[in-house]
Amino acid sequence: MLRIPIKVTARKLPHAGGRGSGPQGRINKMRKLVTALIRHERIEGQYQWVDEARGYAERLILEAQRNGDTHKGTMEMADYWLLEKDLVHKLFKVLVPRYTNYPASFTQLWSLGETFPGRPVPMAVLELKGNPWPPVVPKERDQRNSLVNILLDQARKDYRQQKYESIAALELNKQSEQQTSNIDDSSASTS
Amino acid sequence: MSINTGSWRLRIEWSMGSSSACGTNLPQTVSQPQSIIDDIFGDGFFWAVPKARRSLERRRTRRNGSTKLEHWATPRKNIKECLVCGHWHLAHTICGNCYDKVRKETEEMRATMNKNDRDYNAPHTEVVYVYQGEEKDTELLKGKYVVEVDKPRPEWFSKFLLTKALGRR
Repeated sequence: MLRIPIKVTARKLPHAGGRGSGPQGRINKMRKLVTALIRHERIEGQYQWVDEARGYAERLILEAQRNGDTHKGTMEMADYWLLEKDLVHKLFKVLVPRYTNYPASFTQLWSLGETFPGRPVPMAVLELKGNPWPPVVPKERDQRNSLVNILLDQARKDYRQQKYESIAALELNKQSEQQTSNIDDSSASTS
Repeated sequence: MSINTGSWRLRIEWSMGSSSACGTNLPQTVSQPQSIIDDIFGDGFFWAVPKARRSLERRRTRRNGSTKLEHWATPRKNIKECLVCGHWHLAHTICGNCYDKVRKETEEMRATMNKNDRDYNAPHTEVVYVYQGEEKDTELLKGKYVVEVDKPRPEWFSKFLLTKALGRR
């Protein structure tokens, strides 16, 4: 079971290996992309291509992890999908140990959007998790100690304090009213 | 030649060297009488062509239709400000300015690695990049492919990406 959401039907991708290349051209393009991903661990490209290649890469790693390098079918799959054969070793010796006991998906897809002004084609970044490169999305700044947030915190505290005081005052008033009414009742009954 | 036949407007073309017009290659004896249409058109064949001129309104709607105009005219509301650098980016995308920095750093790191190992013989262990002034002979790096980068580590690129899992040591 793959750990990423994919469509049941394959995405329609026009002219994968040039016009008239057909389904085989599409598969060849996918093989190139998967090979590049395993090689460089982070690739950029058009969103639709990269997103489509993601599923194949996930499946390949999953199969390798499940069956190991002694399984004939898996080895044939690796041989087919990885065009550069030194990467077969990388798949079984580096990536499989990296993702043992790994609950989430092995890859991550980031959308880069379109370049404007320019060609309106949505681009994306696809990466293997646990790669040595700097993180795509930087850590957000810790803004707890910024002046505005400190002032807001203080204002919130003051507001809460006021609220409590007003509630306490109301309660006190109620109690005092009840006491006076009780006294009145008792006095009325006695008279 | 064009002729309007009810619902279809047809252009008729005679193939080159067709004999019907000249009548040289026609058979001498005609067993069945031909229809009038055959008489007129002969060996010609039909192309479908536009029947009527497109009006100005239709042309303009086709070229820049109402949906396109609407799309261009409405202001985008899915633009966000990056909390780190303050540049603008679309809501479903990552910040382009921040990613440019990452891309540049990644390329520099890639360039420092041995080209043969990088492109042709992928190392059989994890690759670790060690910046200037960092320890190389630690237990964490034992048995790993270490690449040295001749510059200090950028501030925004933290050394331990799994600090939450590791905890303080």
